[in-house]
Amino acid sequence: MQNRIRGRVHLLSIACLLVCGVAPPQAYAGHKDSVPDWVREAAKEMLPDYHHEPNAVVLLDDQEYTVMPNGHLLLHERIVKRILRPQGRDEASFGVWYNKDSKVNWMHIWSIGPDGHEYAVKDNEQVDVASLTFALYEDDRVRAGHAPAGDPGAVVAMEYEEQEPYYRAEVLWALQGEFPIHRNKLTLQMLPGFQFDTQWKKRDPIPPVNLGGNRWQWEAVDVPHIDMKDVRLAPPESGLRQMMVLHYAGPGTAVPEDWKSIGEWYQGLTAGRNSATPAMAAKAQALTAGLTDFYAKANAIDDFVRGQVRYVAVEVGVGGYQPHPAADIFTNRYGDCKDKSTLLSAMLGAVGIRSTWLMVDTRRGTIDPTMPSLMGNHMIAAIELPPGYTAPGLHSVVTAKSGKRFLLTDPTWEYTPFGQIEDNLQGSYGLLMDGGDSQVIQIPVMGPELNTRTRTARMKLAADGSLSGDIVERLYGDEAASFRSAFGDRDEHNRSELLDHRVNGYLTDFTLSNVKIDNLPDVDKEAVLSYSVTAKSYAKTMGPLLMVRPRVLGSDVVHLDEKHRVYPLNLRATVSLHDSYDVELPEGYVVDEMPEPAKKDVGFASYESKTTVNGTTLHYERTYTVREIEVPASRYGDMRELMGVIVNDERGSAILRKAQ
Amino acid sequence: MRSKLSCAFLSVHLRPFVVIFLLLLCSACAEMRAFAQISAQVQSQWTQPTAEELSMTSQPQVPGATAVYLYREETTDDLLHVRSYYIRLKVLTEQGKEYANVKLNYVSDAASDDVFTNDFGFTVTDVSGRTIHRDGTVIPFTGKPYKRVVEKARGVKVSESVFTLPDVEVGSIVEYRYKMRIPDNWYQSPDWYVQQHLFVRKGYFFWKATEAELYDSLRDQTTLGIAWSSVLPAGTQVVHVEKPAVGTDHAYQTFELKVKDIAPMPIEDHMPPVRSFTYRVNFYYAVDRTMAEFWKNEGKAWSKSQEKFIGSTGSLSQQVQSLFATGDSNPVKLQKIYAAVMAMENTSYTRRHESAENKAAGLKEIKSAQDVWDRKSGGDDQLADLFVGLARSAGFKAYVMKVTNRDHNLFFQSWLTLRQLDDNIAIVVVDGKEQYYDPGQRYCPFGQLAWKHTGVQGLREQESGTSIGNTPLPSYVLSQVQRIGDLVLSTDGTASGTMKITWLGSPALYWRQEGLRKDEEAVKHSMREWLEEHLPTGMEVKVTNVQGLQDYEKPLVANFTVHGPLATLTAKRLILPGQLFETNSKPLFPHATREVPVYFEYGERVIDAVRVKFPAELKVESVPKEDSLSLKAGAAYHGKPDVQATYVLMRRTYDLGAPYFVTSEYPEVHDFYSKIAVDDQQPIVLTNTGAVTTQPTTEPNAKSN
Repeated sequence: MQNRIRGRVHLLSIACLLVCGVAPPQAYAGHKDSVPDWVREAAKEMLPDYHHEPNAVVLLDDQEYTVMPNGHLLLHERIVKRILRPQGRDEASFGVWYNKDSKVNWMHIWSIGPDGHEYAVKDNEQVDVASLTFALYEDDRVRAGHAPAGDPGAVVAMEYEEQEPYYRAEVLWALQGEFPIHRNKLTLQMLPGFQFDTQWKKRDPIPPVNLGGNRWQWEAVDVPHIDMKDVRLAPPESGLRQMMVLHYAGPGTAVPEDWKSIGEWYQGLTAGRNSATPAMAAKAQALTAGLTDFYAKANAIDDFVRGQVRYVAVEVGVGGYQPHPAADIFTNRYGDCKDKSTLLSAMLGAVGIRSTWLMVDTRRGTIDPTMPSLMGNHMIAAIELPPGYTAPGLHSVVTAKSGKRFLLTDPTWEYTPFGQIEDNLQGSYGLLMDGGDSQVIQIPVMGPELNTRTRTARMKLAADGSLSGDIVERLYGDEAASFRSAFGDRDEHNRSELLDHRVNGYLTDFTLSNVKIDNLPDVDKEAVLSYSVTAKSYAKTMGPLLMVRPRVLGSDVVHLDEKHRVYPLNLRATVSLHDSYDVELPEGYVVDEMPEPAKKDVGFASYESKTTVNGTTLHYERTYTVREIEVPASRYGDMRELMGVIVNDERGSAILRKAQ
Repeated sequence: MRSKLSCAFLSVHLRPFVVIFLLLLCSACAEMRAFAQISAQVQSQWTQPTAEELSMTSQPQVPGATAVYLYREETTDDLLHVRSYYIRLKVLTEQGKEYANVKLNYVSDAASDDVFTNDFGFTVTDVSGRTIHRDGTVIPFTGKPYKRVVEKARGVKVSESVFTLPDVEVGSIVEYRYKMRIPDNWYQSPDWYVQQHLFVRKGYFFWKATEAELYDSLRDQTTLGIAWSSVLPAGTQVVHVEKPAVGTDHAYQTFELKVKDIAPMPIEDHMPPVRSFTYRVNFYYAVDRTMAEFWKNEGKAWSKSQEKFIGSTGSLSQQVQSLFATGDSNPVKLQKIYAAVMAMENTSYTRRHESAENKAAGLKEIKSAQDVWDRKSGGDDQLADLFVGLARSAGFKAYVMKVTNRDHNLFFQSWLTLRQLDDNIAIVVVDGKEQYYDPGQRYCPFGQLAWKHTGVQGLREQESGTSIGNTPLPSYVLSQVQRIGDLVLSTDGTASGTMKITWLGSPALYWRQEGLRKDEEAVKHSMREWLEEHLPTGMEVKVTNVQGLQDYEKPLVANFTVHGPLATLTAKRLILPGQLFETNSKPLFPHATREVPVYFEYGERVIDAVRVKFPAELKVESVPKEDSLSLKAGAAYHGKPDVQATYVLMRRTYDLGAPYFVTSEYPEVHDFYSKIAVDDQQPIVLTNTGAVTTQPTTEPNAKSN
């Protein structure tokens, strides 16, 4: 449901363009029919010993950007890879993305087989395919080809030249990827008088080498790759990646290197698009008729945009960033994330509430405050709060440097209550698009009290081991969002099957009945799932004894199997999970043994459980609370200890015997 | 008069489980009644919704449905070279709004081989639509579809036209039309896919077919008439009318189908691959007079191409003789041929060699079995053909059979197309009896078939011509998993020991073919993860060795060491999982009811034996009871404890004899697997007669490095 905003983009203000000549880019396309020497040279490189042998290694990634007279960028890139393992064969496929605002001038692919044979892919063996993503329509395409003989030991290479789309004077350089990059180079060729500035993420700056003639080069060698294979609680790879952003400008023009300049650019791009039409204003007035409270009015309009405007993405060229006019969105009742935020802004404006856009990324950590850039894949709305205004439902509130407060809301994500923000955005940074006040801000982390699940069961155990009773689950916040997302898109038959799967494994040979779901569409309320269950052989018979697991349903265990942790732990969301189960014992039975209570608090999370006997009822109660959304790798041991406590607790059983 | 060929699918001999499933489909709608005449909507642009359609909030047959087709119409007019589509869809939930997005994928340009004809390709035109709100408000679609080329390669363009309807709400009726045109001198018979993912209230399908004499570019023949095959609900049929020429109007024929209340396509766990058996009608401009003639003629052409590839009998004599030793019996000779083929690179499991690679190696495109032999490399079908060629050269009668892989589809004889056939296998007469071999499936044991090729139908060569044949369904005992554990338990509940897993048949083939796509380290990694998933949380698993990954005639064996928390401690007792390898298993069939048959990939035997030794201060208090369960339709279970003073040995055998069960057997199937789950979860309880030991903190297991 999230929109993608294009990754690599460039914009140069027309005012700063030089009309004077510039040296043409070097001619590279010379030997497409035979493997070039630079591929052979790269193939000879001595590589370090990679601890976890990757499927492939990038021997060389050499990107050269040339700023053209019209300010556009020409990218010339050479990539050489060595395939190391059979499962790395896919790396012999190459592709270059482009859209209507860019052009792949040429692309060549070569390979050197494990036996030393050399190959060149002919132009007519390349294919041209459309990007098939979430969008109903977009103009992104890929020119692609496959290098022959791509077996382990083979070296495969691609070289291409592309006229980059021209949206903003920005170049992004990734220093890490899924595979090791042995030699990673970026060269910038600019016109005389042009300037640049770089900012870095997750690393110290690399000083550029001045090659003369306003030609600059950065090089990184053997930066460790990011290997997320088999990593549990993995943070987004793009959030960890070392990167550089480069901005450039013509003579006499400041390099647009800060967040403010991006916000100003976006202001130009969206000018007039969030204007309300009379029909739109009338609808906004109707939705808020009789409402006087700010929160209630904003909520009413947000509710309309979330519920009545379908998510449909149509992106062409700069349309990856630029929303459609609010008038079109309102008429058609569909749009993508930035369209929905735009319509929300227009309709709020019609009732006197100001709002603007907040560019975010659903992969936490991708947007980094130290690296102003257009990186981001989603747009939400920031509603300006009246000075001093408070309301109980205001949680996702940020304060700008100006002192203005904004309530953040995501009109695309229909499952989070108004006033809150979904878990994958919490703690992330976003770019508040507010003209001269544009700035990067951190989205607040909601407390665990806003993301809850309470499961209660009132059960009766029979002497034959069968169990019956009623179960109620109450879910709120993102816990409810997951539930609503899973159950909302199904007919009754499929819902029933899904519920069977939720229960299966905790109970065997069971039957569910009286299934009821309340408040499924009403995200401001708890979603409530209730059902009755009968299960045979719940208690295990052990001669004269019965063994009963007091934890009737559900598991809070996260399986962690790494010995050493390198990456932070992504706990996803703060949450409070509570189970309370009562099991009435069969007549004539008493408890012989009970599980030990469990308690562990590691700061960022805690767990506590206790089993007691109240008369003839076995009572189990537990609470698992997560207070932080991400913790450093150094806390991995704490997390494993905590999970160990939960594993042991979940295994706990009570032993029943017949009363004497 | 033109001949007519109607493929009545129920008269066709099918494998038992195929027949069963077809009957199921038909019986599911046995209550179909004659419905009111549905008039074609071609006269008017749009349909006035009824009050019931506007106000409806659900469809009783599919409670909670996200959307429902009120009406689906598809008409084909050969004279105009156009297909017209008309859809009316009711949105019932928020999620149902997705159906207002329409994506049309089609071949927009395919170069013609014939100099007299222009290129083939569809063009989407006349897109129109509207949304009707529950109150009757109409919002017209005023935009145009977005069009783009999805893929362009080697003379073929695949395009996409997309559009979405405006202002769609829950309760809206979405209504749209479009036409797909083909060039004037091209004709394409329609395929009517009656059953959809959504419930269909009414459907109307119509074809006005040309009487012109057509040329089939694939068969290089002139067509004789029109044939069709169908899978339809009981009481529903295609109505065929021949219209004579009147005045200056040419003769033509029409085909019409009206359907009502079509249930959505079923989706359940462990269901058969039924994509060819949803309700549908497939038409053909037939170049054959009967279904039998079709398969005979297609078989002849197919066999001819096979024989051309294999070469004449004896063409590989010299090569094959080099494989034999004096005195080799016929079975031994055949096994040696098989081994020689099995030793070659099977590019279906590695990668296809580009023509540039062959050229660099001085090789031309593979055109014959001889070429495969020379380069010791080929695709799966090519290797199967080579095996047949070598067998013939060694004096065996040998045939190629092309089968439908049942991992994704089932053969349907009435569907007159070879497109439904997938892989080549080999049939060899050994000592007067036909035996089946699968040389295209690398590491498939000699004399066995990969499970996807077992119990299926296909087109086979025979002594004279071809026929539709069946492959055998092997005994379940050929596919086995043996899981042996030998552990020593400590009083703190942890255990250490070894495990040995042995795979035979289909499960062994799975791992071996994984080893072709990945390296051995990756296979070991996957095996470790596989075992960890079966054991109690926190047990650390290390792979000691893997034996026989490439030795397909022997069992595949993996040895492991394991260590970690096994027992749960109470003040007086240690509680251990009774069936260790089933600790984390869940009942296979939790649902009380079922709509479609139960289908497994293959029958198998799983044998477990786990011995847990324990210290003297621990005494056995309770063990699971011995139990035997059986499913008369073809499955059995037996669990048995062996209690000794210092150890408990738990044995478990599970036999799945039949890979499918009809829906009427589901209650029994459900009960059987539920009971297995109950038995598997029975614990072993040990009493600690010594000092109480502190419960260790369980840590999830650590990855072996």
